[in-house]
Formats: sequence, C-alpha cells, structure tokens
Amino acid sequence: MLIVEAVIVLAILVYLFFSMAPTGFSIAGQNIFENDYTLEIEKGDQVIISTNMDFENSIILEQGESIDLPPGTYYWKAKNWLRESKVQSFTIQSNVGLDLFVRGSDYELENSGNVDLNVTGKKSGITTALEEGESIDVKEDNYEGKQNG
Amino acid sequence: MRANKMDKNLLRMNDKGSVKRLVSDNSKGVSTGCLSKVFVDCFNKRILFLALLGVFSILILQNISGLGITPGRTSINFEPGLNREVAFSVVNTEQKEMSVVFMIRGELADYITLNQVYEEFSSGDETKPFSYTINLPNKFEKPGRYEGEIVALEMPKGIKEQGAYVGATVAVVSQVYVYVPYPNKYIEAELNVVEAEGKVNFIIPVISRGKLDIVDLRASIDIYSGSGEKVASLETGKGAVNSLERTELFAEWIPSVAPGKYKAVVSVIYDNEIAEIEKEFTLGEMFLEILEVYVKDFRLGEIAKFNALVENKWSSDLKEVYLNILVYNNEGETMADFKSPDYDVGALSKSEMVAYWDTAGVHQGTYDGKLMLKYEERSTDRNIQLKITPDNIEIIGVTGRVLITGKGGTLNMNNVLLIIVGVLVIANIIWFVLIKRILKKKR
Repeated sequence: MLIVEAVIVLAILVYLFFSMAPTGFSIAGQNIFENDYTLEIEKGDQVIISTNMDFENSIILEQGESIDLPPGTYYWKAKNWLRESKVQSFTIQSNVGLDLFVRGSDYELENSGNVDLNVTGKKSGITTALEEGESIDVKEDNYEGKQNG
Repeated sequence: MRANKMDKNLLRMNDKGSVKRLVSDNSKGVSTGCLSKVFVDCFNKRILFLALLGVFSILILQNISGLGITPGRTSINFEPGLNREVAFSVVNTEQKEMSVVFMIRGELADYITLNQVYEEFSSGDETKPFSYTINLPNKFEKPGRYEGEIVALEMPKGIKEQGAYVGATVAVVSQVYVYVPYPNKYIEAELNVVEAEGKVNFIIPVISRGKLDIVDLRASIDIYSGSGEKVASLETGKGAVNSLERTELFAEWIPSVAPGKYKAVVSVIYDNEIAEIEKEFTLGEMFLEILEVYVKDFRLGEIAKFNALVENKWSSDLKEVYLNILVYNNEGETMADFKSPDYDVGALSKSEMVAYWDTAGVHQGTYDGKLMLKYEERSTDRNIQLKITPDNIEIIGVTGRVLITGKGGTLNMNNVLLIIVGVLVIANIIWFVLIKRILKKKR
C-alpha cells in the first residue's frame, strides 16, 4: 500500500516539475513601438527583465505590476517557486509621434511617441521640448518633431 | 479617428485578456445627507452649464493631424564605402486616409537615397515599411558625428494630383547618425532612470566612439533634491568597453525620500578621463494619481455620477484640485466636457471626487474620452474609453506602460495535484502515528 502511494506521489511530483514550467507569451522577440505593451505569463509569479542575456542587474516585477522602459532591447523570463521559463527578448523601438489637434482657432500638440521630442513650428522656427506623453497648447498649425537628446 | 485607434488597442489587449479596468463595481460610494444637498444645488446650475457646454462643443470642430516614424534614430559606425539599406516604418497614428511625402536633409543628404518619396495610406493601414540606402564615402575629414534626416510629412490623400495644400499638418523625422571614430579614447553615455518595486535603477549605456579600447570604466552618481540638496551618492560597478562597442553601467538606489523631482549628476570615469551627464527624474509615479473611476446606479438619459478616487503622492497638500472629463464622439469631436468642484487633497492621502454628466440624448455605445486631474497648473491625464449601456457606464483606461498579466485561475490542475500530494503526505503521517500508537497499546 505504502509503495503504491509513494509511486503515486513521485509520479505527481515528476509531472508537476515538468508541467510547472512558467511560460511567457505576447511580445516575445518582437519589435514594438506602441506606448502600451503587455508581457503575459502562465504559471509564473514574477517576471525578470534585464538589458543583457545573463540577467545581470535585472529588474523583478510581480504579476499586475507595470514599468516604464526606454527604447532598447530587453531580455525577460518568467519565474515561479520551482522553475524559470526560457529567456525571450523584445525590442522597444524609438517612435517619433506627433499629433496636432485643432479646436476652433486653438491648437494642441501632443507627443504620441515613446521618446522625448524637439518640436519646431514651421512658420516661426521656434523649437520647444515636448516630453513623452506631454501635450501643449500651440499657436501654429504646422509642426515638425524629432527625437531629442 | 480616435475611436478607430482605441478600438484596435482594445481588441489587441482583449485577445491577451489584459485590459486594465478602471471601473470597480464594489467601490466605495459617497452618499451623505450633506452631499445630497450639495448635489441638488449643483444640479440646477450644472444643467445650465452642461447645456451651454453642449452647444459650445457642437460649434467647435476638432480636426486631427497625426503621424509617427520608427525608429526615431539609426546610428551607424563609419566604414569606408559602406553601402547599407536601412528600414523604417511610418505609423498612421490616427488610422486615417492620408498621403506621406518623404524628404532628405542634413549633412549626410548626399549619401542617402530614398527608395520611395511618396505613399498613400488608407484608414486600415496602421504602419507601412519603407527604406533608404546609405552610401558612405571612403573618408570623412573629421572624426565625430555626421547627421542626416528623413522627413515624413503628412498631407491629405491625393496631394499628388492636387499639387498643393495649405492647412494644419505635422512632419516627423527619423535621424541617421554616422559616427566617425576619434583617434583616441572617447565615450558617449546617457542615463536611463527606471523605477520598479520601490527601487530606482540607474542604467547608463556607454558607447566607445574612439579607436582605442577603454579598460577601466565606472560611474558615480550624485542625486540632488529639487532644492539642490544632495540626498544620495552611488557608485556603479566597474567595466571595460572595446573600441566602437557598447556596454552598460548599473546602480540601484532604494530611496528613503519623499516623492518629487530629483536630479542625477553622473560622472562617467573612463581611463582617468571624465564625462558628465545630468538628468532630472521624478520619484514616485505622479504627484496625483487617479486610482479608479466608476459610475454607480446609472440610467441612460439621466445624470451620471462619476466617482473618482485620487491619491496625492506628493509630500504636501494640494489645493483646488478638480477632475475634468472629456467624451469624444466617433468623429473625434468633444461631445461632453464636464468638471468636478474643487477639492483640497491632503499630503500623501486619498480623496474621492465627484463629477456629473447629463446623458440626455446620449446613445449607448463605446466612446473615447480623456480624464484630466488638474492641480497647480499641472494635469494627470488618462485616455479612457466609456462603454455606455442603458444601465451601466464602464470606464477603461490606457496605462502607457508594460503591464505584467497572468493567465488562468489560481485553482488549476497543478494546484489540485499539489493539494492532493499535501493531503496524502498529511494523511500518511496521521495514519502512521495512529498505527504506531495502536501497536504500542497492543504491546
């Protein structure tokens, strides 16, 4: 009886070891430039993100947490109490995005990309810094944006 | 056009099961006699105010011009006679019909050839790939950085036939940097500040732009508060970087200071030479954060009460804080613009704010909107989406961050098996102890 039970327990533990491997989905290996992106994991409690493959100086995130990352290539893996997933990567490409809203005689300029910009009014030639996600009221209706820094 | 963009985002996120909800059905409501009185007072004024706003909003047309280009910058190390095709993409951020005209300029203009100078986008085109060819000479006279720019200019669809256009438009630039190595040791460094789990990570990418390798590389970081007081000093680990290669220095800081604006002054020390960089960063997510927004007991056509829970993460009181909600129709026009009264929010505390919207004449459907928390000439903005049904308003927000989400419930097959193993082990121990006792008694 005891032997049968021991075999069952051992079989379950072996099964758990192989089936509990966490998995990462979503943007594995992709180039992304959108402002919102999701790392989706299965059977994992944490995500470890690093700028290098050996995960030196890594950042650990729990499920449900979020982080702002600058453009670059990142390596990540999911982890649970037993195992780690395989290492995957994604690249956040810099995206220069500029939106101009026209409301009556007023204009609003919004940095819709993922990097800080220098925006220049085509008529005045005046250049203004516009941080990522920032929007400002402007007077002109023609603007050009480029990555600053 | 905004609706198209938001719908697409939402679909993509739904596929992953990861839409972040701002609505909480079991959130706290505010309903006291005192507040009810205020409500009635405000109600009559609000009807008039909203009616005026409604008329005003109809009169104001909101057009939009939007464009994106990625990557924003391409860096190339100089090689004599280099010939390379470089890919880039144009992003139709507003998912609309448009033309894009490309131009080249800058000191590298003579060495760049665009493979296409004009393209038309339909509303279904989210991005389109393009490329240019860079053909470098055998030699540049001076070392350093040479710049070129690929300009993408948004124009109305069919501009090729029309010939000219006068009106609102935007242009975006993808830069090309060609680096000619310096004969000596030379580095280029930048500072990225990433905040996670109560820690601040200082990541310093360093690129060697000289012909000589750097064998001893490190950095020291001094952090200053808004008032200029030094609050911390950090050292990164040591490293080395070969000619024209890239490495990263890293330091971690566990801050014990109040949220606010800080400045990091970084001295990158490389083989007894020093390069300095400075960067301002904000500690703490925002000064004022919108924690949740929900609408309770809603009936379409009546006054909707928007409750917003906000948190002051700043280390001092904030006065005259108010909530401003904009709702756009499918054409991107502002169909509603309503505000809460002014509130005072104590330092590092939470406060509930209320704003009312008269939904008379509003049809059920999904609308884009903007949630703005205004305080001291600042604003915490969130793009939202309102799903309006006859008896509910669901508010969905876009966060602008990497969000970690999980799949599957907590009671999955593996957890059940783990419980079975645990039960078996405990049952065996009990059984073993009981047998032992019985045997002892028998003896």
